[in-house]
Amino acid sequence: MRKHILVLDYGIGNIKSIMAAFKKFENNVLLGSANKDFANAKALIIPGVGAFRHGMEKLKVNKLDTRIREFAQENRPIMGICLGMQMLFSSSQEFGESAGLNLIEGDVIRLSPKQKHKLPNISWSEISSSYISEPLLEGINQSDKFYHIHSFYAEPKSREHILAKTKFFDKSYCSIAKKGNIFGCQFHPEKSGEQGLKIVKNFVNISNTHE
Amino acid sequence: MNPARRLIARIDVKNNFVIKGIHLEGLRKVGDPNELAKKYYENGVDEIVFMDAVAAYYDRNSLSEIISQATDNIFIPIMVGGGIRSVSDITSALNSGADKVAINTAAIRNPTFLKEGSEVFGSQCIVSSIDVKKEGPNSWRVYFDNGREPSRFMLEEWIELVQEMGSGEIVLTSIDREGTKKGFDQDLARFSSKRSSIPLIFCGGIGKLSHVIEMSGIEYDALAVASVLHYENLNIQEIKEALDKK
Repeated sequence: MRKHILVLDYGIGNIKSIMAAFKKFENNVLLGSANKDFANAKALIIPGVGAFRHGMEKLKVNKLDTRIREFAQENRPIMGICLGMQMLFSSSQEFGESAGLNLIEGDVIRLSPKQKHKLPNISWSEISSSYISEPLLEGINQSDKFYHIHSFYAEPKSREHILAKTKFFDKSYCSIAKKGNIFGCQFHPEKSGEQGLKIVKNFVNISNTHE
Repeated sequence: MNPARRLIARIDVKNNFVIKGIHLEGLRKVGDPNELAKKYYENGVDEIVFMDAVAAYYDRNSLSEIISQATDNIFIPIMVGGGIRSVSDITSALNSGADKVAINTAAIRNPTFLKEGSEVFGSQCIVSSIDVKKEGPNSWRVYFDNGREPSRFMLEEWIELVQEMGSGEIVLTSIDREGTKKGFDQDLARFSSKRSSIPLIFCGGIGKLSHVIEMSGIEYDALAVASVLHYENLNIQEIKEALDKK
């Protein structure tokens, strides 16, 4: 029987904050990366901050990339956060081209508005979505702001995989991606106050419904 | 659309108490760090920075437990500074739940430490904490060891160097104004604003709303305040509104 939400432990990311946020809504949150941890998981969280290539290398070390793909094939819910979102995509241009998990078709590219701007984008920004009845966004208001910190973003090849967008100067980019039960969140729901926790809670509900 | 400027609550900690001084000296106890952090979180602050006020001076770091407790109830970014000297110090701060580390003394002693940190943990995690004292018109010297020791660097060369070394953000404190409630040094704000291509946080000196409003024409990304929150001179929402004024 599938019981826990698995937070993937691969040596990267703000694990403690993510664990604390999910534990508010789910008693059974497990930090791990073993086969049995995957086998018994109802959903998977891929955390991650830092560089894309480094993250992918860490995933490949223990063949976690293969496990994640298998998990996705079984249609069990996955949420990638920040770098964890970016790695769901086909490839990244950060420090030269490198391949990602390719669960959502698209590339990770540098955030570059035409207006004068600073990078990283470190901001509390609103997200906009045209999917009003999306379970992940239940209870989210248009004026709610979320904590973004990144210089690169993932651009889905197909527009239907864009669930929400964020505006940074004149540039509007994908900040939540969705393909089936695979979700990617560029901002940090676990660091975005009460409104961020709503997204965490909604994802927990999605995991339970799916179960 | 320009992102809104962030408001950061700065909590200086010594022996598990929140303390506050003037010009980074003469420290007074003002409360419990976790209680204050929780209150500021509930009132809508954007970020919290815990500074171990004496760590660089005595070469130690004791914030882990406070951070660890904070991250269980506080779901906004947390920065930690004071006594971060090695990659293993960064690892331990992040494992306690911090999202970023502010580095000052260790970078002055060895600027490549910033590079090492940003390569391992990413630029978004490495914040350069810069304390300066004015030496003349448009001339500021960088200090370390909690404002006690003058370094060999002037502000403009140091800003350039920390960016080159991969810092993701700068938190700039005017030692002359820190704790005085006379406002942030406007000349310093303008001077650093022109020279920073990464997000810039101004820290220290804010005593009333007009101090925030008078900086609205200057390009910067975040404001860190301490005394006005600790002593409840201003509330978080009114400061955020003042930050939004263009």
